[in-house]
Amino acid sequence: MTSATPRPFTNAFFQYFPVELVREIVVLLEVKDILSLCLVCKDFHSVCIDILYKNIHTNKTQCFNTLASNVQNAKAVRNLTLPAQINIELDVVCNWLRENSSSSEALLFNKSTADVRAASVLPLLSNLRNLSVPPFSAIYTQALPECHFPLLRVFSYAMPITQPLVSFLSRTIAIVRLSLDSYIPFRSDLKFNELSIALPHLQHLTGNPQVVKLFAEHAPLATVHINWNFDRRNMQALEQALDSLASHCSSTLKEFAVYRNLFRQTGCNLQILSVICDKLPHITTLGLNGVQLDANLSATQNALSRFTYLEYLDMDHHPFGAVRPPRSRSFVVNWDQDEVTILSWASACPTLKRSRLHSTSFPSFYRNTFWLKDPRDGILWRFYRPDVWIPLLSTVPQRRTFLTSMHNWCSRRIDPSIKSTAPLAPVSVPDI
Amino acid sequence: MFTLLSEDGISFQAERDVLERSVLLKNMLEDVQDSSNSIPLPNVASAVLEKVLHFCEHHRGDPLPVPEEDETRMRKIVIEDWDYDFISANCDIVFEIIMAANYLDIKDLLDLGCKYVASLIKGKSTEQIRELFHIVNDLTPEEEEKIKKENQWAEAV
Repeated sequence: MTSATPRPFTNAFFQYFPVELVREIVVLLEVKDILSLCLVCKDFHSVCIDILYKNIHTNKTQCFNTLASNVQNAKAVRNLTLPAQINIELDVVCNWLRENSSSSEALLFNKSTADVRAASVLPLLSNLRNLSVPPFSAIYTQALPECHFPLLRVFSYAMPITQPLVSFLSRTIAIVRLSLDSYIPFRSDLKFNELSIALPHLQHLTGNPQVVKLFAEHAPLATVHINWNFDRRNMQALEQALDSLASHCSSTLKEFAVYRNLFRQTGCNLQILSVICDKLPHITTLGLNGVQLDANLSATQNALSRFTYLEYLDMDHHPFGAVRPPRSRSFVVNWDQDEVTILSWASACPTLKRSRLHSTSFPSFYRNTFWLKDPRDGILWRFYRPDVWIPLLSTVPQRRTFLTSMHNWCSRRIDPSIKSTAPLAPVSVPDI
Repeated sequence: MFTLLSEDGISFQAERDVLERSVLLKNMLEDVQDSSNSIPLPNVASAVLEKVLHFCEHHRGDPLPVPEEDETRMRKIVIEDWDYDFISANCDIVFEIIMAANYLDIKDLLDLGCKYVASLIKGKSTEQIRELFHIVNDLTPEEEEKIKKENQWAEAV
């Protein structure tokens, strides 16, 4: 684009331009230009402030000072990611955990100026839509009792659940997406069984089994991701959460996933799948991780066959940013095993359209994941390391069998009379 | 063929697929087969309507743009060659074009106008912006100082 000098404007039309149209222009500008436009006149200033303060992801004390002193600016904030408290002293955290304290006081250490300021500003941001509270930042929990966010729709909170949080949630009823994913195991004085929080608009929930059980009763949940990290091996907690989902959300729930931290936890493999297919047979998307099913194909088939609408099975489900355990270097990819696995899943669950194999079958490289797609009905299968296996697949005769049988299977699903032997076209789909 | 009547009483003829670039007109024409009555557009002057129809004619048959959120539109100014020539040739009435595009609900033209104005603002100082658009500064020096101080944190972003 050239920067030819335009013919000069002959009137002050722009100054009296409708606000909503000035806004359309300002969103296109870079911060530097918004700062210049801000000072042009009063009307432009108020439009610019709306854009400039819409998304706040900073740990600059200056910014929070401004929000503290200027109501207009504070009201402009829609999306806020609070700064994490820095200089976390592990000793303090460890002591706190050892003392089994339910008080979050112990985690109030080394407050930075930015987060003190941010916490004091929080109650002023009355138009917030989206709020993210980082771990190890009890200072924000203390600010919650003063906060009233009637428009808050997305809330993620990485601290233990305490009474101030429960009260806050109870009055913040517009929440649609909630993530209560504490990085710290905690013992709480709160009696979860006696709590009741009704969030009538809540559709997407991430949290431990207790959290899921807590919200399922009063919310039309569509997406549930369970973080099963700390009460691991406690199948009962998971089963209770599933029971609650089955009795309250069976008509709305589409997507369900269980995430376990594999550094600490294995086992319960087939058991998890069986419980899910038993309690939630109508889901369309299922995510699991670290579940090793190879050993028992027929039991797996039996479980999968009980899902009536399952379209996507992700056996390598990890939440965004999750740390994955390293794999052994001496690892050998067993293609034959994968072929058997895929074909058996596919025949057990005819609604299945996409699947991702569990990561234990593959080396620890997760970039460049690859999808195999049947061009006619768009069925996708996902694999890792195309650089490793694509050449293998196309050169080794055994692998051709794999491709051909996949393709035949796909063809049969459309028209039983078709017996095509043409190889599938590999299609690259960008990783999310 | 349909006939449009501008604010100043001049009529323009255009085919359905040209007019349907405008969501407003598309909805109006939905149940109309007969084109004998002209459609009055009391908010659009003939000089502007002519340009708007020129733009719609060039883009007839293009897929209609999907609405975007602020977050995806933010800080992106990319203008196609033909569009750039079109809008810069009519830059003296760019604000009227934006208003008309907004009224007629022609998403891509509205976007083009806004992107063009944004490109004019880009890189200019406050004083240069005032000068270009003949804007009268109604902020006192104290207010200016206060705003500068308040927004200082954003400078290094």
